[in-house]
Amino acid sequence: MNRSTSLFVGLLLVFLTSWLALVVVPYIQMGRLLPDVDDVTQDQTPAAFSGLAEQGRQVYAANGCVYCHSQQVRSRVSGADIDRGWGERRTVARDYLRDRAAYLGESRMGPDLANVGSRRDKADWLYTHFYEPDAVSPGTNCPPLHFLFSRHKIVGQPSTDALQGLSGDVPKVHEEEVVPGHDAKALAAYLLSLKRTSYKLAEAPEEKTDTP
Amino acid sequence: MSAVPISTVDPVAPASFRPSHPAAGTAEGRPVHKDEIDAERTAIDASVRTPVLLFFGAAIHWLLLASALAVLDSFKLNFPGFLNDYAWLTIGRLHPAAGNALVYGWAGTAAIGAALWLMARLCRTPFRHGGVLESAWALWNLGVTLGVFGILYGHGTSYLSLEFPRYASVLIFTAFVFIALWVVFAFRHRTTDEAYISQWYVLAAFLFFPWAYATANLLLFFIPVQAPAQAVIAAWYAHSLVSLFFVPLGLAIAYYIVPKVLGRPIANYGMARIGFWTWLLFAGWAGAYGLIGGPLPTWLVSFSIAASVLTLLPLYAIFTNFRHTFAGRYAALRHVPSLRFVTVGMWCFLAAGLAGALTGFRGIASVIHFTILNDAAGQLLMYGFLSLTLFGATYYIVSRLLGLEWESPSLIRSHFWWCLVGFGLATTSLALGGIIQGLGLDDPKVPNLVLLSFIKPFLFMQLVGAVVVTGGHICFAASFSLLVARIGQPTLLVPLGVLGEALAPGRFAKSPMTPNDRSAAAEPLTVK
Repeated sequence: MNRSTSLFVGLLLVFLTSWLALVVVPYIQMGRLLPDVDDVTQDQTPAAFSGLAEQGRQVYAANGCVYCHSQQVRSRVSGADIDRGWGERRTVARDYLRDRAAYLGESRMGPDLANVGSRRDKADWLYTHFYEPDAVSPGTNCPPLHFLFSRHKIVGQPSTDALQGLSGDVPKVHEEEVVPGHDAKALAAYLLSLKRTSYKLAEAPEEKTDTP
Repeated sequence: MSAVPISTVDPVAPASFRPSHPAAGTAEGRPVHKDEIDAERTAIDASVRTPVLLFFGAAIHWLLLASALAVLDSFKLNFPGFLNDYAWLTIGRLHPAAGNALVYGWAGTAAIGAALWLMARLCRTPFRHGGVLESAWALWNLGVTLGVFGILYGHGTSYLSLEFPRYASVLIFTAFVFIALWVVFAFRHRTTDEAYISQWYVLAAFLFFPWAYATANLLLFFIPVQAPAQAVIAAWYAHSLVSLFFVPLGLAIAYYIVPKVLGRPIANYGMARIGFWTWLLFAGWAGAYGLIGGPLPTWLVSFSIAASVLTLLPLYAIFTNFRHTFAGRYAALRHVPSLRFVTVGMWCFLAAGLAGALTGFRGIASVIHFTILNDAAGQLLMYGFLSLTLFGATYYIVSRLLGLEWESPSLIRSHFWWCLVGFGLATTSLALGGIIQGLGLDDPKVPNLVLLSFIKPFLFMQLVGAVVVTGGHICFAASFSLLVARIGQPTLLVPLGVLGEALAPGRFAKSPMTPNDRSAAAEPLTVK
């Protein structure tokens, strides 16, 4: 065995340790988790996403929400997440069991969304936020997602799902309306279904908010 | 293994700059004739000229595109109402498009170019089958193009550094496998007995990347594992891409250029080896570092944080070595652009390494996690260390490949200072803003929108920094275009040569097209 062979072997062994520790072992530990099943009702926790919500996840991924919003609640030891009202308990691995992909996030330019469906339970509020974030969150730098909506002249009766309360000149002056498109509806369905701390899991007990 | 005899060193160089290492002549003791070395280098450079230039040229195009996307990204973060009717210009697509254009388009492409040239030179053998590399170049750039535009089109995956859609990652993987195989074959056919530390680093990076890229793409997108495990694998890849692919390539360049330009061997070769193995080991374990506090088993993060503290050992080994190699020759920084870029890059690496090791502690991490300080740390490594080192490598390598000196010293100076000032401004703003943001996030009485108003001034300064950096990149691209177009006459970089590339080859050669290195200092030594 010459010296370059031992270099190759050494490199492979070194990389193998990293790969085993951070890919293989986590896969064994977290790649085959099972939901909680209620003995009586046979309900599964966490619940599966609807088909529309799954399409919404793709809209979420395609438009990079993850670059400003995390989806994880840390325990009170690690941060003020629970005191901020982002969840009742810390999130654990099984909370992401039903996700096709886990967008844990690395930035909190905006609020955490792990449990957003419990806080913002109205689709209309979300639509307004998607179209004109400033109208419901003054001063935010969340981007207006105009391309998820159809803006057109009102012909005959106004649409029932047209956005109300936009601050700009859209609704009245031009007699136009803004109607959420399929992607906006899917994204809202996804966000409304994010209720990761609203149910109980044995390994994540609820944390009291009044004691440190 | 031979080194260039001392006699080839610039006769004009001040005595204090002359290399003093003893290893003139070959291992067999036969003095090497200067023409013999020139002929060898001519043959080697000719064999890799086309592919290496293609890689550098494409990289510079990507750098410009990435800069433009980054400025627009930063602008829209400050002014979210701008151009928001177009889906492909929404910030959530611009941001990953800019990031991936920088990481794979600029840094990846340029690092491959630099690594190919280093391998050719250090293996001391002309490379055969350059056509393979040219095909791989085309495939690689096609992959990056489809990836970046795929993200803009709405096919991004939102996993950091893995945003490219599958149709792009397949091309990138295939292209890289060809490049890596070619590098390994070149290494096996080298004419030297020993391998220099830069070759070790290149091999490490080129073995690791296909492994990690395949693992991450397969387990995340092709045969996706459960989402909780995906989170760890994605974090491992994003971290390892930097610490086990880009950092080794940056170090390979630094270990080559610093001794070359200073004209002395690296101070302690044993220490370089210790730094090599310990870095790869500990940095490789630190991959779950960014998941602190996350919904994952605690052992994972604790393990990675412990490993990131252990990386202080290789950092110490590497930097003590460089400090001793420099030992009083800092004046060369004033005259030699490549050395200057590489050295400032190394300082950024040191800063990033220290910051990474110290911010892992839970008390600090719980405050700064999820803040724009993360972006500052990322910039310190990917821009401060890597991009500056790659700029240095471009200045060093391309002029040698073309046998031409860079046209305009003032363009190079502008490039350096604009980049340094812009990068410094952006990184400092993000770091300071991140600390404020972290303290605010930790205080539940501060509402999100109030907190945002605190950090907006820092986001604006980051935009200014991004614009200034882009100015530097335009100077860099202009330098490169002027050189490639061979417009004007070869000029001297500095009035009085010091060493290395400061000794303009055109100055000593009758014809500017004479392949150079002839006045450069010794090849880096290999110590058994």
